[in-house]
Amino acid sequence: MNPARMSAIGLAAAGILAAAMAWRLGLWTVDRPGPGLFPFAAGSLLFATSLAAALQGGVAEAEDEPVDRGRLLRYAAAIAGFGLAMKTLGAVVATVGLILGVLRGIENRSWACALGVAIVLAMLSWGVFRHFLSVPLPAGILGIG
Amino acid sequence: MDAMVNLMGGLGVALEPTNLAVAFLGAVLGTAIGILPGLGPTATISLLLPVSVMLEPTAAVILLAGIYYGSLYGGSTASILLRVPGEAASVVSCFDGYPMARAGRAGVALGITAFASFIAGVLATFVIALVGPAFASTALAFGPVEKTTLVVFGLTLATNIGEGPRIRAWAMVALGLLLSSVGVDLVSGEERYTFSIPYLRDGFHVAVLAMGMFGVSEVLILAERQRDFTPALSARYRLRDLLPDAKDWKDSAMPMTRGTVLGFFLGLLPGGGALIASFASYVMEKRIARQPERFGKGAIEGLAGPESANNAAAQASFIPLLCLGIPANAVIGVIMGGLLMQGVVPGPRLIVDHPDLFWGVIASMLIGNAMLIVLNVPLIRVFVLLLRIPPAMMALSILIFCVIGAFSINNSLFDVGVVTICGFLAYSLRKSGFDLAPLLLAFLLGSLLEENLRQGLILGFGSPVLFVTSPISLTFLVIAALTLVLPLIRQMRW
Repeated sequence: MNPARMSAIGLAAAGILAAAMAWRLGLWTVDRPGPGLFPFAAGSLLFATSLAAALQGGVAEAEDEPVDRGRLLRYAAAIAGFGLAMKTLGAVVATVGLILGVLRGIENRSWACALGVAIVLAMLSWGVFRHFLSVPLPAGILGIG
Repeated sequence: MDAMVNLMGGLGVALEPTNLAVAFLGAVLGTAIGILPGLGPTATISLLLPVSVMLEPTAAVILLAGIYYGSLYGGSTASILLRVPGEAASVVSCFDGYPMARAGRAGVALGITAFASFIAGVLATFVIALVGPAFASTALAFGPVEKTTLVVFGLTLATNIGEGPRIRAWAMVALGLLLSSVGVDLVSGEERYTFSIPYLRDGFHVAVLAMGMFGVSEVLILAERQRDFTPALSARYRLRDLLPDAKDWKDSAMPMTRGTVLGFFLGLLPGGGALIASFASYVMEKRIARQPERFGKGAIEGLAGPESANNAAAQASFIPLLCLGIPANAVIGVIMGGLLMQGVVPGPRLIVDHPDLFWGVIASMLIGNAMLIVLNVPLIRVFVLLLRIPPAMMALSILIFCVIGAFSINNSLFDVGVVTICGFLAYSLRKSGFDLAPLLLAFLLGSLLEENLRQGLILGFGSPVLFVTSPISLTFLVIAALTLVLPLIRQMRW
């Protein structure tokens, strides 16, 4: 089964589940629409259109070049890791770690390049969010933030 | 006459130092991201939503609007020089711009692009000033019934004109509407799809969704394969190389005029915008040309028309937003999100409640276009250097701004999780042929649709008959139905 069809089936399942949950909320009260009416309609529409899309078949984008799945997965892991590391390590350390990891581990850049970019981008993001926007960035266990 | 007086008043607002500075910043950022392939105006504006909250509402919209139409100026540069469109609406500029560059007329191509965009931008601004208030006053007469069907009409057009198969666009509309209903129902107080997670009681934040959908997913697209993008950009352009000669102006004058008119009308339609306008203008110019075979080989008309059309459309698409509260496309949808974050609800009352914002933003378009012509003609060489930024660095910058930007909205790590998951889901939807623009538009319009639908049903004592007895509402429904049915009939005939 191609990914386009799988996505459509996933959406159809989400649609029917959402419609069922909305039904329980109540579609109509004594004299007015209930809280479930609108989400029920939206869920039903999602179910019907996604099912039709699944039956219609896959229309995945035509690729000029094949996707490097290994590279994509490593990037996906880096993105997920960045989000998770923000809490424990803090925003600044997580940012430096992300850049070093991606530029050294995925892009094969030199240490000097990776470190230079990491310092510049970490300082820039810290400057914009912490200094300019006064956002209390997570400091993490190291207390850098 | 009133319009001109108001526009002058708006100029006073737009010329305030802060507004002038943000218009300049928007023009510079817009040109830069327009030139850089990959990072489009939707993603950039999404990234800047947390920053825009720091500004006054007028300044915030001036900044975001400047990025939008600035990106259209810059977008053509990479198309002309490298045949790599900086953003979607610049695809058409590749057709004749790149052959012109290969024929040694890159300077003229870049010049006519900037001038065409400028002329269309200025003309469109004056027309917006003239027709905008009329739109708003008409829409003031709309009740819940008309508003409901107007949104339905807008969403129908969005699915009809968007990218990809229509059934998939409808699925995205449904998903957007569903996401908009997450949180506490304001009428009954019931929790909907919150799964007892306190964060979800307020629903999803538009900026977090937009950053995930357009920012994080873009990072994954950039990460799909190694891209060693080091274009040869040795050409040097002197100012005089960029100035079209008399023949170029003569050949471009009518395409620019036609492009401006066509682009303006297409920009008004929900679901329309710069991309469709530029394609429509190209097709029109080719059809009416005496020598259509010149198109694709460096015909200046094939560049001047679409460039005017996309800029006119981009500016015209502010009318449905500011006057009706309906975003015409995804970029305008994100700008609407920026307004909502400021506590300003766009719609017919905006011109009455926030005249400074309405007229200030419109007048800033004149100033922004003037800044852009200065930035894009003499300084084009500086911007072209941006093409040397490696995609990996760009991807990392986008990601950091998305994730920390999402955190900054509520100082919540939950938002970091939402932006990340949303990015992964958006990536798989994009790869499966689902266009995300209808999803965002439906998400933004969902609460407006639900509120008015419920009021309409209450007014009709539970019966939906009011939706077909009101002439305005019926008109919207009939046009929406025709938009749905006509392409099917055409397909059946074939």
